[in-house]
Amino acid sequence: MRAARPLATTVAALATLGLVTACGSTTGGGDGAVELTLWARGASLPDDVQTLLDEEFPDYEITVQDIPDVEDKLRAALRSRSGLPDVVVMGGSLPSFFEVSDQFVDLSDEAAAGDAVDWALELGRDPEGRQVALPTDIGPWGFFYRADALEELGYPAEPEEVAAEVDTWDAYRELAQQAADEDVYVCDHAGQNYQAMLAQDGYAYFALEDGQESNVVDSPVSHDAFVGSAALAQDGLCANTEPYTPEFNAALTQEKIVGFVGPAWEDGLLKSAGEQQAGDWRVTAVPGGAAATGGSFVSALAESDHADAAAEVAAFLGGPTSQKAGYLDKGLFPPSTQVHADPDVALPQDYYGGQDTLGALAATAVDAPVVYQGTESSVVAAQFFVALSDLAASGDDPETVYRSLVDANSGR
Amino acid sequence: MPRRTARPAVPTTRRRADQPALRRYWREYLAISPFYVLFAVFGLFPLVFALYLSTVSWDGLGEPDQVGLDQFTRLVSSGEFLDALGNTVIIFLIAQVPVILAALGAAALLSSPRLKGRGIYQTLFFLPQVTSIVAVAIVFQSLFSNEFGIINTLLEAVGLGAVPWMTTAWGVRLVVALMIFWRGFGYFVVIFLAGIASIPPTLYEAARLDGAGPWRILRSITVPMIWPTVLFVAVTGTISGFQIFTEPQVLTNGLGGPDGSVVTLMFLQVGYMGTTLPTVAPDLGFATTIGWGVFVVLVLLALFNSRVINGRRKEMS
Repeated sequence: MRAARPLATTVAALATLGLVTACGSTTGGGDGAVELTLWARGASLPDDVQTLLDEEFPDYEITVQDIPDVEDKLRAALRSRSGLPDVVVMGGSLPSFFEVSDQFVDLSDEAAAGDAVDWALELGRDPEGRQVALPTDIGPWGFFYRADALEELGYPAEPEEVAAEVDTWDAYRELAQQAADEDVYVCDHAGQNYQAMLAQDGYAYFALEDGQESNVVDSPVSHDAFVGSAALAQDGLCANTEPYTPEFNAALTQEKIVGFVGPAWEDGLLKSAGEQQAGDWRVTAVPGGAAATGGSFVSALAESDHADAAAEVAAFLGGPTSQKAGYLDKGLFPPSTQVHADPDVALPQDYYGGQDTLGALAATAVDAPVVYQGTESSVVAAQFFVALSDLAASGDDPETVYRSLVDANSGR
Repeated sequence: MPRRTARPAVPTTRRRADQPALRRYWREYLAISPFYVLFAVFGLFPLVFALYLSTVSWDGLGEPDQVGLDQFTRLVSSGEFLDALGNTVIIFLIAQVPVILAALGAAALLSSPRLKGRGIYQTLFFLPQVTSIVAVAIVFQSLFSNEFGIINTLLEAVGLGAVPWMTTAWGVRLVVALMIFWRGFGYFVVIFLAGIASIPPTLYEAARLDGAGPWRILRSITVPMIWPTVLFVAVTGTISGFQIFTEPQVLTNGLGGPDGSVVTLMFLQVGYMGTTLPTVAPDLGFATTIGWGVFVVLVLLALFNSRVINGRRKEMS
């Protein structure tokens, strides 16, 4: 007993110490080597990114960490100013980080040296003109369709001819009506069409004038897109299934969805859900003009011990070599115009019946208008999207719903 | 009464007694310190920080804005919290209450001495509890999909119309309730079974000899004898019922269902933390205030629970 007590005390003390120190951060690497940590969602980088980085930067020791909720983790790390990575690849909610844009390395020089499309670079630039992030992949929108289904409906099968015939949203509605008569859909979800229409007009609820953000939630662009899309849904012309849900997959495999409007990255979804329909699908320009939304972006953290090296790595991930690999591995659409024209990349694809899909959407990627994304653009967009889901089932008057959404968001 | 003089203390004891308590018992304090250190770091500090957070408006980056008690005003006046409370209560009533009652019945049946293969039933009932909830949600989405789901296909095959499960407020609430029922059933069955196992079999034998039927036995022997278990299940079941989050979140892809009909209190709170519910702008201050709201609701519920249960206990004794 006498011997046991000091022992227990020591163990308890050691355990406490251990727990406390375990909470602290450990920064290794005292040998002067440049060690960098890269946070990214696995799906937004090429498969062999580690090899690519090791080959490009033999002097740096780069650790790639696959983090599914990378934006949340980054936000938490920025809040506590600890455990930050050196380089980060993130997807949505980029504008919310502009509030702390001084936490990121200004990549303006790297942006100028590259050849990414303008609107995508603009998305990575904060209102003061600081290049917070470089695009690594982008989402030019396309009209994906099944050639055999369109032929059955009396439409041409070739992408250029389809684009010429279905060139306006009115023409698209006509096609949707004919498809619905045959119990198939060329619209997966009215919200997708709504998003495409807004992107075509370079509109995202907020506008920037002289460095000041103004609320333009109530606008004819949004109104007409909303009412038009709601009509598609309420007239039974859409399958009312959101992409990346089991319902969408079911609708696709049951051959109910034979066409949809979506960003280029839905290529991966289509290939996995519509595996049996390989060779039937094609992609062409969306009706009504070029539309695009941002994909993923890479940033370097200013507080990194090796900020310059981090910026180099960011420039590499936002550059042509990495984009090429990303497109070939995962269909991530490259922002770099040089890659669009690369004969090693712009190849005929079996899934699309031998169509060169990169070539098909390259013009869209270049022509798409610049969209100003406010901090709360994505919040308002989500509300309109959800409302379109609800409208399809409830049969409420779209004008009334539009008005109430505008009122609810007038104070932002 | 003659006053007794204090006996002179042993010198060593006096020296120890003169020392402040902290120095006198430092070994003992050190021995129990791990709990207090952990509690201070993970319990006390967050609580105090939450008090501060509920007085600011903060998106989690940049500088927080001091707003005083505005967040609490917003909590009671904006309707969001009350709507979420209503959704939570509805889902609780149609999911948690039936699952507890059904589990009690099932446990009573399973503990029948004539039943064969009890282990198999117990395993089968408990299995959903250890199944990944995300996988479950995807299965339920596929089952209840409006146009492409198995349930509606079957309903149409037998001549009944398709039900718009996922696009009506009550439909999606029902699907969430079914998920909770399916998942929680086995857990409560196992707890009730453990309680029933501790009842002396002689009581049942005596009751049967007196001619009591199964209902009478359940009411007069099983339930009173496992009253502490019922209390435990009622309290933990209520608390977990009011913290429903994952089922509605995963089932509706984080959007909250038609008209936000399955946005529960926790769902709303996590939404304001910025990780789900893309229709709200992140505000850690409001998220924390919702947390305080949930706390108050749970305290009220616990008081109600203990009143009801204590009343019932008095009634029985």
